[in-house]
Amino acid sequence: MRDVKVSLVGYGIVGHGVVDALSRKKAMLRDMGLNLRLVSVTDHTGTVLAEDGVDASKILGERTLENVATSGMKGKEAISAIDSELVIEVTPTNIVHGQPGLGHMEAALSSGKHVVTSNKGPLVVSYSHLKKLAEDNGVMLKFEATVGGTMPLISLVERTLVGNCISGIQGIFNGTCNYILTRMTEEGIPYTHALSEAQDLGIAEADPSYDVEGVDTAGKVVILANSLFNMDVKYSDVDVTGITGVTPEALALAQRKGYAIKLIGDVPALTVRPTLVPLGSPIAVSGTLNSAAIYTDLSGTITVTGLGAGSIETASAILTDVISIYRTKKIDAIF
Amino acid sequence: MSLSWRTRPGRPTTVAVTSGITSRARRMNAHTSSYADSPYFDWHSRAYVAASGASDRVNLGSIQTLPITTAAGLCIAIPASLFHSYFTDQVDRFVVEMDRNKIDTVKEELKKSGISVVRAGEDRLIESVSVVLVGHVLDSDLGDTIDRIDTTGYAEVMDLSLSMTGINEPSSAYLKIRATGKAEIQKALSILREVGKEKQLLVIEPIEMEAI
Repeated sequence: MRDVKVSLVGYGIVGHGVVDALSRKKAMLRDMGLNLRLVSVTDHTGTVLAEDGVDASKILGERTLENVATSGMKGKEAISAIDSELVIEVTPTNIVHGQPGLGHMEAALSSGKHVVTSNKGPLVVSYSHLKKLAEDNGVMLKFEATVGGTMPLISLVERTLVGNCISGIQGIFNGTCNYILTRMTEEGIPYTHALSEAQDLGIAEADPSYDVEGVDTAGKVVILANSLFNMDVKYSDVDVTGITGVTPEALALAQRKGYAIKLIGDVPALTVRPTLVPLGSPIAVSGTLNSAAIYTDLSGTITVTGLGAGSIETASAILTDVISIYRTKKIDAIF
Repeated sequence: MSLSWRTRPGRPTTVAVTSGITSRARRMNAHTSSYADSPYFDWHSRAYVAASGASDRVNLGSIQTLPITTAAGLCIAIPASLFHSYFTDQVDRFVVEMDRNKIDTVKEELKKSGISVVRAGEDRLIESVSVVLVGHVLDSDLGDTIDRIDTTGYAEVMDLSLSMTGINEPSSAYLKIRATGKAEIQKALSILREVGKEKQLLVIEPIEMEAI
């Protein structure tokens, strides 16, 4: 049995999902030969420490750790002080400066800890630096959950399609935009109505600009370009147009002519824009679904679709990354 | 630029390119064992069998000697081999495209081989693309927007649908643009992008159909 001490940094929607998923999958992981022990959970109010593993039932009901924290340690301090070999970083994303996640990841990687994250900001701002830091310290940086949530994309290209050359990836990488466009098409309602409906359902944030202006999708395009296409690009290299200018009339007109209008991110073209997608195309998915078409030389086009966000769904992608770190290191040899 | 020619005047029907190859390939039904393990061979033969409706494997005969290793290679090989040998007894009429400056040479060569060229040098709008414009499409002079494409000489707006809402509300237009080739489609789209920037219109282009 391989014993792995895990620290979780960030206790928002995804953080809750991670605690839940690790707790639910404990027995399955043990069967695989992995004993993942969540020795600490940290947020902006403090840290819950438990050498034998944090009791999920005691903290899952808490929105923050304010009332249950056993230590006042926060952020980088907690990462350096706590004895763990893997850090799950799920703090809120900031695509401009990457903080606080960037500092957390630097602290973890430079002290020889693997990092698994769903936080796009640090990767958009500083991918090559973080990648080098991981290599220099002989640890891994995994970020499947940053693009397309639970939809397998990065690991699919890096492992399953490893013998292929990938000429491009196009897809729907933001469930909020896809939901809004879907509702506008279905009901013929204007953008503002569809947006408020999405906000009421918790699909869109109170400040939706990050999603609807295409910023989130562009961040994902940058991550895919840097990680899968070995490009060295920044957010400002992406040509971004959001969905705020799309009208129900345009959607209806396009539909009559056999097209849906979707916000499509394109790598390596580095564009994010509303695009006509033929109705019936496998990437023309509806609702909050994400999708991606991967163009390969040997396998033709591979299309994937799945939920792009959500607490437990994102945690599932994180869990996959955690397991893959130990599988990559030949889990057989660990016994 | 396009060119079409006819081989046997008086033949009643136009024979499709694929059926020409298939019947030829069938007739040449030689040994396939040395090629049977090759995925390329398998792929090609399946393509031909599918076209003919036959279930057996067929040999490619002299096509084998051509560098057919990719789909692109196949695209070159089919018209080349047709041109070379099948032309006179299998294919009645087909159309090819080439640079304007090569047409005369090709016409001469065809004439020497006893082939009559029935039409040459006619530009044809063979590619098309759909675009949706959103914004003040009419107020920003839709006629001018269309003219910018139509005056290129290589592309034209062939279909136009409008959806108008109240005054001061953004309207939408669906345009189908036809052009003489793929490169010209791209040029027309980039003109439209520029016009879009200038007139503050949202230009919604189709996804590039790499393989969808």
